[in-house]
Amino acid sequence: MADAVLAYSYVRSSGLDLSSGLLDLSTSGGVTPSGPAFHPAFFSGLLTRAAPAAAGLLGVADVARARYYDARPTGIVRDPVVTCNGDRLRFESFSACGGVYARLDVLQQALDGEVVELGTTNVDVNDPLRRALVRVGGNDPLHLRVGAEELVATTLEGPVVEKKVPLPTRWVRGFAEVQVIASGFDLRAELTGSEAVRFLRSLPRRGVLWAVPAGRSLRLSARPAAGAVCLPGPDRLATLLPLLRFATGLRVYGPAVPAHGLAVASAWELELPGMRYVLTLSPEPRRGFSGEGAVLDDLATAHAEEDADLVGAMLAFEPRLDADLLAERCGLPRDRIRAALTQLGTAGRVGYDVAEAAHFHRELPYDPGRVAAMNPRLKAARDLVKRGAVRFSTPDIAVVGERRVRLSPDGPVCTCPWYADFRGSRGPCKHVLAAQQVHDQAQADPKGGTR
Amino acid sequence: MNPWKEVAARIDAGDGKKLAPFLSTLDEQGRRAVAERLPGYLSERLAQGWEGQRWVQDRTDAFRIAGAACLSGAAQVAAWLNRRDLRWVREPEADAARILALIGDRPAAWREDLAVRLVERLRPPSRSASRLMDNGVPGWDLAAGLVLETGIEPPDNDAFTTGWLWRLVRRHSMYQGTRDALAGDPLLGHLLPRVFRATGVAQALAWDLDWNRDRGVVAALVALAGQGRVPRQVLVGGCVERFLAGGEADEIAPFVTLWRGLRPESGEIPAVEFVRLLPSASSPFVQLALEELGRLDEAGLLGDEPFAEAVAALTFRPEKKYVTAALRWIAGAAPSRADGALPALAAVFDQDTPALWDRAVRLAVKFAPHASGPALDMVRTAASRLPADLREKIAAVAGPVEADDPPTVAPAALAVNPLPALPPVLASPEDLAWELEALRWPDEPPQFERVLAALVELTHRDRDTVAQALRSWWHKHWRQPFDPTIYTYGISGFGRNTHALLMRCALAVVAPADSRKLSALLADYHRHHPYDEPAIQLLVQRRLREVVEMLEAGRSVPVLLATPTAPTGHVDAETLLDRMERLEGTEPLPADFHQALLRLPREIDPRSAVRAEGLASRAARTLAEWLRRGGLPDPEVTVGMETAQRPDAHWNTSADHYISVREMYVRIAPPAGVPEPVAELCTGPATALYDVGETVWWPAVMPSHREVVAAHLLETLTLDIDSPRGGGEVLAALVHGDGPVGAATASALAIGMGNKHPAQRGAAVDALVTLTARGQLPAADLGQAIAQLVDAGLVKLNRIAAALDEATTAGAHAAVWRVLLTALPPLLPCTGDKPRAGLGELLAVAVKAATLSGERAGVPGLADVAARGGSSRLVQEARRLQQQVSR
Repeated sequence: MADAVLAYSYVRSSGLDLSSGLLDLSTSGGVTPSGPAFHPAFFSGLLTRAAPAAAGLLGVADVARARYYDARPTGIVRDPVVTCNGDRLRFESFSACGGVYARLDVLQQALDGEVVELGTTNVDVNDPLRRALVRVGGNDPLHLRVGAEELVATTLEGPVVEKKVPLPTRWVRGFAEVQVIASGFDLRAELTGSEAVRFLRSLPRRGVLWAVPAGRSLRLSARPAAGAVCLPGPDRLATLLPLLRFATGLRVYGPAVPAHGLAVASAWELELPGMRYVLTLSPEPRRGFSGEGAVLDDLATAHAEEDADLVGAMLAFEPRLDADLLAERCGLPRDRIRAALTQLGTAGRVGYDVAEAAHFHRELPYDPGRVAAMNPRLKAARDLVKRGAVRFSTPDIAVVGERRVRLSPDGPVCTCPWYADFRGSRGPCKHVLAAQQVHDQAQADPKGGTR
Repeated sequence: MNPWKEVAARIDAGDGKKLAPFLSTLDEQGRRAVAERLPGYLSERLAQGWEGQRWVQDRTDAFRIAGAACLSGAAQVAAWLNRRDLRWVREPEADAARILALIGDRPAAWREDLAVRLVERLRPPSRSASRLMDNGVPGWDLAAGLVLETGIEPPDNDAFTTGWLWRLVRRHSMYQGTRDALAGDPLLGHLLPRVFRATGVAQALAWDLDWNRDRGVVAALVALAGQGRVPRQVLVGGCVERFLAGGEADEIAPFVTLWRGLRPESGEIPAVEFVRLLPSASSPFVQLALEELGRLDEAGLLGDEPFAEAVAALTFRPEKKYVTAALRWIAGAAPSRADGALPALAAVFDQDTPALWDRAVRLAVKFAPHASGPALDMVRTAASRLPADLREKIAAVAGPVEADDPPTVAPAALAVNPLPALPPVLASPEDLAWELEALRWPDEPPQFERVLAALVELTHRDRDTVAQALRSWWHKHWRQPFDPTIYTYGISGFGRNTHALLMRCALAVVAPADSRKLSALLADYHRHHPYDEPAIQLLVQRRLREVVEMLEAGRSVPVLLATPTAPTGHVDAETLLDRMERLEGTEPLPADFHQALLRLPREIDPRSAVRAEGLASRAARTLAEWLRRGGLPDPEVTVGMETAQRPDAHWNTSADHYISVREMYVRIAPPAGVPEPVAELCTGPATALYDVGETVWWPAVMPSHREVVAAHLLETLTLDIDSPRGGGEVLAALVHGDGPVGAATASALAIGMGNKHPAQRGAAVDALVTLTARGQLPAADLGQAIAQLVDAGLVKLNRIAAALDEATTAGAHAAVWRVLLTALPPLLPCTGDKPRAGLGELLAVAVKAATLSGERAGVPGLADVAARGGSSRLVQEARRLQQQVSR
């Protein structure tokens, strides 16, 4: 399947005029509470902490064009996504290799101005803008404009800046699914600014390591210990280094150390004055987020889609979604809200903020049909079921094609090489999914029996 | 003959030279006829697999010119020439000339269209510099030739610019490029400005600077700019643009060299840009900016604000040389710049370079009288990290400094990171088949053990069912029909590799006849090539081989004795007795039995011995005796350094190439009266195991005698001290075992802490922390091992220091202090000697460990070092330590 092409169209290039102190970010097609919008305007006002904000934006832009396992230039830059949640602006990007997610949250303390509208869109980032951002410094505030209202009227003549980039499905899926993976993270360590500087500067470039909390800092270990956070490919934290001079602290998030001891994802959040810069790393430099399968269990549930529609209709670009409140409003139990949020996450409709430990509403500005397209593993599993490739030899052991699956209470296991390599750390394989599906059907309809 | 047949015949003959004249004689109709058949012909050939691809590869030239001459649309021709199978040509310049000649009669618009398409489709090169030097960026010559012929402005594509540069660099390296030629290059005007924006050009420029030097492209540009034949502004402005775009050192370095060559006037130096780049730019640029800003400052052209920003950025840099440079700059600044200087000095206090604190404090004292309140506050706050004497100096000028003392780092609680729990027992043939199929690489002994145990037990219970359950595994993993010869060539490892041996155990159940054939062949082979692994590994193999033999013979035992009952590999004594009872008087497998004995805990209830006496078998009597004696007495392990004569390189073993090296030796002496197979394990010198990966088995072979395991391991570790698979994990597992630890364990720890790979060092620190938390660290041995290994040049002191620092942070500060008490005296320099590298860092760790543990003790030789003059890190830290321990 040929990759789709994403076309950004801006009424003009983003620019930074240092003499007048105006940072003008041009917007492309996006979504606002009133629906799709061509060039929405979100914010106009002061960035009170210009230097860290400019450096943070550069970090987001750098991640967008990085391919961490291969340093050769890609020539492909996918523009960052900006979301206005009312009390904050979020700038997100996803690396070309699909293994690093970056977000700069500019919080209320660093903003002084007017929110024009809520919503999500792409912003243009170009080379002259990057060069100008490097030159921001000192203590002078910048005027920031995300999308310009007065320009909307002149768009009749058509956009003047058009950029086309390939949009691989796995990249879009990874961008969406990283949110779901991050929602399983907890805070594992908190470092002061100077400890953060010391720790981050001492890191080696390569390898999969574990950072174990020790005293006020972290130390590296080859083996996970309780409370450790996985650090796969430390060179992927490179965009944190230019921000260290502003850092007031570092917070590290990750899932509980898994029993299988294999590498897992983690999030590294630098606290800056009035803003936060967070990087989420995939479990291995060569592994993107799209194959992690963290979503499969939730997606495979029966009600997920309807529930997601219901919950999705309630969203209004909130900076944090209160799961209890959603449960109450939708009249659904918590686990179904969770599954619905997973479904919405994979559709690119909610993000996850580890600092707030809450989802936020944003609509990735990519073709929703593409983002929501069925997960290939789930599709492969349904094909297996359809082909009648699943046969249960005992109540909990199934032969699926040439593999064998056991649905044990400690978690399903399979004999396929993929399972042997990842031991469930990347979600169930297609064989397990197929076996579970047949098993569930049989339970629901005992007369049908197993095929 | 029709035109296509003529063309095809010439392509088949691989004769591009004769094809071109023929193509140029074709009329419109003839071309169309060829165009219709050509693509199909190529696909047909390519579809024939690698031979077809090879065939096409040899005829790329012919296919390209045929397509270029005959396909009608420019888009079609561009796509044809950019096909993956046709993109690579051996002589790109000749290829370009041939094609240009053939398309010369096409309309101008068509040719312009093609030129644009060819330029746009060039790909960023992914080849090595030397190949780019020879052949250029694939497709560039044709694209450039057409651009020049049509006179269009080439579309912006970085690969086109890169290709241009590589061609220039080659011309200059062959003395064909001159300044005049470069000035007259028709692409210069278009492409020169793009050089500063394009990604991927640095490689060509770096090659030029390395090999062409004065006669190269960069040198020519500098000269032409001097003569005014190339706009200087394009070069100077371009460099600035490039610096602002950022990048790794190797991408920036060529432009730094170009800038230096241009010698810009002070008016051309963009001060603000250079200052703002200081915090984030790569090192070559920072060095340049430092010099240029210094030049501006000397000319009185740098304002106070840029000065303040610059020195603050420099003192925050991780490179010590820039911090030092900033201090030098500040030292020369006017007192009026105090407000700018003080925040930068405050940043130095936060750096981990105590050698610079002294100077920074002196400067702060000098500037303080001229500074404002906020600047003084910054210095005062930052000074809280400093040692007491420096704090007082700051307090004298800036007001009281709150001490961040006692220790900046709160001691962490020591914690043992336990080994993963044992996986559950496999209860059914189904489970067994499942696990066998899911066996992973590298070896995980606990998984192996439970598969082996289940295989033996279940087979004893019901051999047919097990064989049945394993059939699908058998079909997948063994060649059918069975041919033992494919498993028996020399390096196959089927005789010795643990993974293969376990597979053979299962094969012996499913297909005993096949298994016997294989075993016989392997036995034949090993008669001439005896097993030469260390004794400890031989026991692992022997255990697996005796199971193969038993199952092949159609025999079985009810249970294996040595299957671990704890993650360390220990077998509980009562469980062992239960298992012996299940044997009902039959003799156990010998290796299994001896392994079981070695896995008994050190502390055994005397009643177990009594119970063993009640059992009836020869083995039971040995066991009873073993239990009565309290298990295996500890073998004596000695480790030391010796001077040996070795060839200076492994390929050169002639007598005159021997040199003296300091080496570590290990010897193990068995205690008296131990059964033979066990005594073997306790005898040394041990031999090394070349596959470090298999050492994962060892901790569980002798879980009650970890020093012996460490001794075996040491022999393997010293083979390649910086191995990425340096046994760190084995070490981290080993320390969870039991028994005395001494010089061998300590030496293995020291080697692990000195390993090049952070993961290995981390594992060694884990091991150190575990031993400390268990109250078992052989601190004096470790200190001695560190001193000896460092002295022999086998491990690097700075790595050891970093590892000990981590251990200190992890809460092992008291233990680290004890280690250093032994390690430091032999490492400290005698009067007049040059101190060894990394000693300052080691002393810094000592200060930290001593501070945290509140220990006080004299370190012999420390006072002499502390009394040395100068402000090197070594002396500074020695003074701090001296103060700390004599408080």
